[in-house]
Amino acid sequence: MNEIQKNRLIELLADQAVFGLNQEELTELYQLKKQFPELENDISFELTAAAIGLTDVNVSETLPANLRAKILVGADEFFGCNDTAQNVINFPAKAQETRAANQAETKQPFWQWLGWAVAAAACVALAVNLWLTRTRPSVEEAKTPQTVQTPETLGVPETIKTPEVVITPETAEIPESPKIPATGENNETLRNGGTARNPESGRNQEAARNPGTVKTPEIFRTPNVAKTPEIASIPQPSKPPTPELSAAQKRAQLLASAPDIVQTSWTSAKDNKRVLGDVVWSSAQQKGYLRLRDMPALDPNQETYQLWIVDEAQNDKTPVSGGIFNVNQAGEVIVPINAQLKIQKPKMFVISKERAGGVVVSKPNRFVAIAKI
Amino acid sequence: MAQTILNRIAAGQNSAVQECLDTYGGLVWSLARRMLPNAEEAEDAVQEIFIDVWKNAERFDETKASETTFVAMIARRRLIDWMRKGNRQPNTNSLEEIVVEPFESKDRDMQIFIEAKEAARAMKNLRPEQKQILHLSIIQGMSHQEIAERLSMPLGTVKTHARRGLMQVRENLDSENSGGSKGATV
Repeated sequence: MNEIQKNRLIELLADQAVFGLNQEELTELYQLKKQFPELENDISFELTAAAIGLTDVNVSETLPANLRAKILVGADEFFGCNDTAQNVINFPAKAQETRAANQAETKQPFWQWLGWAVAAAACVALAVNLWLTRTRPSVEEAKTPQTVQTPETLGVPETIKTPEVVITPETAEIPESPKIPATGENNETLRNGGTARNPESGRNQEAARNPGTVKTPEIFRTPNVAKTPEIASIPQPSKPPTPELSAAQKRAQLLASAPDIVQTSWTSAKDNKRVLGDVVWSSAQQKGYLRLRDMPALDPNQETYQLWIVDEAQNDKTPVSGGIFNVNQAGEVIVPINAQLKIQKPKMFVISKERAGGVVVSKPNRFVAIAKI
Repeated sequence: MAQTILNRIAAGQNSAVQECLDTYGGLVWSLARRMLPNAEEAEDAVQEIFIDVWKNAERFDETKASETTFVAMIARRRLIDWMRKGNRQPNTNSLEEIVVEPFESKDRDMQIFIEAKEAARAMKNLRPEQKQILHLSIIQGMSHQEIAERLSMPLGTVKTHARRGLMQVRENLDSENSGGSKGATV
């Protein structure tokens, strides 16, 4: 009787390895294993089947990059490493925050002090500005809402230009997304986010690299950017008015002027199908542009697209944020890349669809398009 | 002795995760693509497989099996579950394509090649119907019902051939390699 049961157990183990078992068979297997504890953890049949399964494997196949990224995020979640800087499979902002914090710690106290001093001065400037503008509204303001008069005490009038497409990465929870009047050449949406940064000139990269002058970690804490007066109100030196090029013209200019330009096409993160458009990037100039056609428009109050850049110099798990953007009309859009850290050599660009304002950590299931170099 | 990738994963070394994907990502992807009908399902299954790999890494015993076979075993477990749960439509090739010989490998993935070669050798002396049924089930992912229909053979006979064939291969592998899979446990 015992021998019959043992043989039945072996049959079930073999069936399990080759075909799998139904619920009834699994129950039977479980009960039989209790009678033969020496076979309770036997996986020899499964290993044999696995070895047979190797006989026809196509080893030339490689794991698709998007799937690899998803698995890495899954591993991060599994190992519960999100809270440790060392092991984080962290998407941009968190990594940048960590790096920025580390950089800040290594800076000299003088610079830290200077940073706070600048911040304090900026606060005072803001207060004065508010007071002056509320009590003496200028004619200019009434005429052109996109022109901001800087504090008279500083004597530096500042015009905040609004490029055709502005990405303001890491500027979450910014209530207003002023739309730029259509100009014929562009139909993109501005998401200035209240920080009044010009992505072409300011880009906050300097701030990112120089935590001593600005309280750097705050820059990377996405939701708080708009609330940091030291950033929002630091007066900019005046510039002579120059004709602003369209994003398409700037892209063409970059293509013509950057010998190190890299260009690659987008593919869908879902099915590897082609997504119309491309990305160009120059590491020497730290500039690049996305070009996308017929991307689904998103409700800016609900969702946004977000760009990530995987740099060869960085861990795959810590791509750099390239900003958020929206598409409000069908057709081609050209979006300047606003990398939050210096990119040494990009090897992949990823666009994800996130909640409005962008996110600190993305999930692979939100990936929309991937462009591998 | 140098630690294996799975040992290091079990020890919580995150760097080993990348290495694991570099080493076994293509293998697992290939197995999933072979057994599942479309890339989307394969992607979902592969993610689950690697979660299983992380979970079971500490159970890997290199004296019982190679790491390649162990990872392939975990992949098969999950793929079988996946196929039994869903609408299984295995990726079937014509009978003419069934050749129980390993692919021609280049220099890379030598470990898989060597183990595949050993398995193929271990299957050499099987009876033709055993060999065919193991191939249809394990490599092509067909159920015993599908095989029975395809070969016009009673279900019980299909299972019997599969069991005997598998036991024979297990013994052959075990005699080839004293550190083989017989008696391996998790």
